[in-house]
Amino acid sequence: MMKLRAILSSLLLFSMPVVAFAQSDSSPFLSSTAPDLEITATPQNPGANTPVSLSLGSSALDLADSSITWYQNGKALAQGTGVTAATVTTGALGSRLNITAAVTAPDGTQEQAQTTIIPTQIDLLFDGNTYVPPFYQGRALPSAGTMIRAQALAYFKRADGTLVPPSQISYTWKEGGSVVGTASGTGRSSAFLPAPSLYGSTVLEVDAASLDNSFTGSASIIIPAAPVQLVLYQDHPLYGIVYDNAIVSGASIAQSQATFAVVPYFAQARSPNDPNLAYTWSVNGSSVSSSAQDPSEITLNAQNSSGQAAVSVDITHATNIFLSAQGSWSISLGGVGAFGGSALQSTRSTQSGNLFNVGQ
Amino acid sequence: MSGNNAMKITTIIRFILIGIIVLLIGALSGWYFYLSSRNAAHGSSASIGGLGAALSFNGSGGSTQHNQQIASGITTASTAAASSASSSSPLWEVDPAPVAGMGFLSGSSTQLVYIERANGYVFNADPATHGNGRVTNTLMPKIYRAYVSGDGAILERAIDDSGTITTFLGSVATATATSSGSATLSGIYLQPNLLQVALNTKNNALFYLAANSKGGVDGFIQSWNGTKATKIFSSVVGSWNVSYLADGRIILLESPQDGIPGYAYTLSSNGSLNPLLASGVPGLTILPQSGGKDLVYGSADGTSVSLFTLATTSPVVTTLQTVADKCVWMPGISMIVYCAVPVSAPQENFLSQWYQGIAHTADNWWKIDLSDGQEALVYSPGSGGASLDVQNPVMDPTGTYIAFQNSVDGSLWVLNVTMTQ
Repeated sequence: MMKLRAILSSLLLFSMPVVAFAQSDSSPFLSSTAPDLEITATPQNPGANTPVSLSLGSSALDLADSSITWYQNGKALAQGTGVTAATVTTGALGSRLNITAAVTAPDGTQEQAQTTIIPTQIDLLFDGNTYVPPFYQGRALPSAGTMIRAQALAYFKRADGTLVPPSQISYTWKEGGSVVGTASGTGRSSAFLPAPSLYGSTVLEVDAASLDNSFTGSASIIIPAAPVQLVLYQDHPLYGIVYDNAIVSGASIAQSQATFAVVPYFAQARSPNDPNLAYTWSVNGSSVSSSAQDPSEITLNAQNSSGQAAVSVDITHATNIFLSAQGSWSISLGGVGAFGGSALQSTRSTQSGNLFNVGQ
Repeated sequence: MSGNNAMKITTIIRFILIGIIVLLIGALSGWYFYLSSRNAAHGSSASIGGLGAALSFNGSGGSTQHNQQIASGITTASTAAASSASSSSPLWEVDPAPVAGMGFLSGSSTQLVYIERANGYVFNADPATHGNGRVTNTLMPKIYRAYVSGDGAILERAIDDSGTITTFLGSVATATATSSGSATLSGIYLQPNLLQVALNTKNNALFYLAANSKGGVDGFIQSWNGTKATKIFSSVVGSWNVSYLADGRIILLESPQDGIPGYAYTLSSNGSLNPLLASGVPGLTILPQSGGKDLVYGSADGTSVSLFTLATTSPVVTTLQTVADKCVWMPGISMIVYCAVPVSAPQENFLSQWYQGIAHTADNWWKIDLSDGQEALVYSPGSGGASLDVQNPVMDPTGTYIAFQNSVDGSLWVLNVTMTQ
């Protein structure tokens, strides 16, 4: 009985390589991936029509002296001794690249590694809940003390052309390298996050994966804290605020009286006259108190003469201590000349609206 | 004796009183005739502003600037028209006063309809004859933005005294060649504070964005008659620029910022966004083509601007340093695009500064043929010519004229591209 067991065991032991060898003769691929052979793709989550660098690594095999053949969707891609790298280009969204690296070691050992590359696209959009004027074509940027509004649009396209809906995607949001657990989760494709600190910036990242893990993607962006930008415009009696032509220092206005409006781009405000904003105006060194109705505007009156007015304004916020902005402009009214001290008066009018000779 | 004295005194007093009465009558008569002469002079100047003046379609009268000149005796309508029509320059200043917007009408004859910013009046101009006339007398002051569709629908957007954005959608029922400037701009006001509005002439619809209660924006489609709007889009991000192409596509562009990736999409009826480009582009501006798949887009990386064309699968960078906002497609399924290109290379952070009205350019006009990538200079004002910072260019259906605004002063210009080539 013992002898019979030994004979049967020997037969079983020596037959296994034959079976394995037979499989290798009938197919270029072996039926399993060796655990110590790995393909690394860079970038890890490529988009459509994107070159991808492939690298083969092993902790056990001498790849430098091994015969390596790369296959892309069953077709030979690259071949040679020690060819541990290859490059492929992804197709359109919805396509797949099946990559196989078949290795024959110097001692005849044959192993393979496989990976599948599915192009995905993650668009990471953001802006700030800050003020920009009507009809402004640019983006509202987040400033210190405000919020970032972010949205991730994940394009995980299946082979049948359908997209994996956001409800079936898990999103992981990171700000400054730290996971924001309150914003992350299944279907959490948008996030409200605090803006960077004053003069700082942050890296906003999002990782997305379908619930079945067949698709993955990631995106990141560097978001600086935008400074509050004060831009001065003329509030023209016929045309309104002339947003298309900002008043720059040294500007000349033909009229001897004109009203100017300062616009605080990216401020934490619903409008320039937001009650949380405090304006401090001065003209030619003299402070001028603000109008309660339109604190963001000032009217200059050269009293039928001409000259230059040095206008400056400081803006602060009632609750956002990071909001502090200053602006200054030199404006000529009614032609070229110099405002004399006597031409500048700050006596308060008794008329409604508190129309100053220099004021609002 | 005393009786005689009394009679003399009475007589003297009587004569004095008669004299006083005569003098009073004379003075009042003189004052009456004086006032009558002043009223006649005032009545003759009522034509300032164009109302009631001889506003034939082919006359230059009617615009604010031209009628002020006429009343001041600087020029006459016939003189102005004759001098403009005889000009050999391909460039025509249609209206030196700030204009809120314009558009070419569809049809056999080329008509440019525009709206003056100060008053909301609608004007009709003929680029071929340089004729210009006011169509409406419906006063709507301080119009910031206006849009004109091919079949005469007019959108006028203003900001009222409380800071509310108003949007008026109207049309001029009949604008004929003999319009006397007395037509009424009839229409409706849409809901207040619409952030972005775009018209589509093919299906008589408009698309607009409005702030929602969650801090983001919702997008709606509704018909021009103001019937119930249908929400088809929602986003937490509020910074979008929209356009509604004649082929029915709604294009959403994430509002650009120098150096920051932006994205552009086609919005489908189910609210899904289909990317126009495979990845974000810094400071992305776009010019999609109605009825075609070709695309012109710009990139602003914070230090410079570049313009790309995309006619196949791979974008091609042009030599032109400009933004897509300054470009316009030749109508129809063409591969020709015209772009205004700054003479001097734009400085850093140009895009946001241009949008804020801080930076201005002086532009030449170029033509790009996407079929072979050829670029050609088609018009330059020259060193003594007008310095034009081109804004909002539109092209007429025949591909002959480009209308645009000068961003510096809002004036309206037309370039005849066939005269330049």
